[in-house]
Amino acid sequence: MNNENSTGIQHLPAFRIATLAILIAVTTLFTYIIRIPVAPTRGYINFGDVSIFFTAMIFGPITALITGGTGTALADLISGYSQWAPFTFLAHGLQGLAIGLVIKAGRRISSGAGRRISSAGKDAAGPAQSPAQASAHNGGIHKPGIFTLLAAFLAGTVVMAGIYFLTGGLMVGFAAAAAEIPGNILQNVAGVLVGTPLALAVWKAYPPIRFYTW
Amino acid sequence: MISTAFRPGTSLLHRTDPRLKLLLLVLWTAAFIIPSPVAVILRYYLGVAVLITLTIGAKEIFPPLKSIWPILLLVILITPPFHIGGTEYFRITEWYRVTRAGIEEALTLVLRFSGITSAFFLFFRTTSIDQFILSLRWYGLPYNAALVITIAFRYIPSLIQLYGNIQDAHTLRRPPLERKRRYNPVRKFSHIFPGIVSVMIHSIKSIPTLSMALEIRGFGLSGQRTDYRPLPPLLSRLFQCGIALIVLFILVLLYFL
Repeated sequence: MNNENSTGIQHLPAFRIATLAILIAVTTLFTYIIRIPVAPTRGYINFGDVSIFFTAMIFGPITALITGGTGTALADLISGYSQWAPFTFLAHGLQGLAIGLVIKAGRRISSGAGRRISSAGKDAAGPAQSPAQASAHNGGIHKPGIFTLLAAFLAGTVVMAGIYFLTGGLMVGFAAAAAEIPGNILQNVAGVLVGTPLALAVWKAYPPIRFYTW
Repeated sequence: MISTAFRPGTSLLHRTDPRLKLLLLVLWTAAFIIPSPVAVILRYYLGVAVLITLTIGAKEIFPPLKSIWPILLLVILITPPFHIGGTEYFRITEWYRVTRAGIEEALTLVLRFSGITSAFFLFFRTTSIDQFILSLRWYGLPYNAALVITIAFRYIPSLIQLYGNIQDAHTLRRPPLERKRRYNPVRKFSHIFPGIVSVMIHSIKSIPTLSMALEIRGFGLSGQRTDYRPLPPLLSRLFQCGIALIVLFILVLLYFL
């Protein structure tokens, strides 16, 4: 489809609706189905935060806000923990927004230094971009630096764990809510460690995705 | 469409307007969260339990509690040392003392969390997700947001099946002996990662197709949107509105009794 390589496609209302719906479904899948058991605690790590980190890196902060919050809240509704859905929506939505904003700021700072990976899709994208298109949209992939990733991880963790602590404190008391903090930090560690290579792998395998940021 | 907690039925709550149920859910949750004595919280919880018994059966009181019992146990164990006051009942160490204040606080938190969980359980047990989204639309949720959620719900089962197929395909590609090894989280991750990359790429590739399908169906055109399954005017359900007002009155009365 020619539109895959067009700039401006991400501003079409139908495209945005489709993007949000698909990414919400993916986030729900990652939260509800894809899990790695952690034997010592008999708990598990779910990949919901992986999806949020991925979305923030590729699609931007607004998409991460909407899909992170809604996807994880829907997972709560499906799995029988509907009482947490409103707080999950808030915590993971703002987590996605914080991560996306930090990564966006990090890219702006580092783009001046010219740290750029040449577009993996330049050869695979088909028709060459016109000068207007090339100047209108950056065809390169901005790999976030290590400090940007660290800052994004810290921002996401503070926001997510903080909101869960405050809302959990209202529901089950602050002592019990504090006991959940290590688990939330571990989720964010998994998010940044798995979400970053996932984003890089998808960037490389499907170059048109570079036009999907908004 | 993926299933939620909803089970079809003919109980009073199944036939109640979802907009009223949603309003009562929000207000009942707020009542639980407002700082109140343990006796008041107990009355609120008993009110929810009575409602469950009268509508969907007494045996439905236990499933929501079963899903949260580890957290309730954690609350019972971890709360008393942080609330010391009144008669001391026993102490395990110098730090871990169980007093009357600690027991009351633990009971309040247990009843609060159990009550909120049970109220949400009752709502979603008697309200389908379509009705829930329609009632959110009535309260002001934009049409586009409702459309996004509805489409996402319809994509989730196909994504789950896709992920299962991909994982099966990857498993079959591994040597038979490797499939029978003891569990190792690092190996588990190395098996999952290629699958999630494939699922992500497949999902993102379907975005342009879905957006074309929406445009072909006229999405984005100017003009009034049509709801093909609207909820009836709320005023046509005066009896239910009256019942809702009585329930609100009882909620307030329970606080002051």
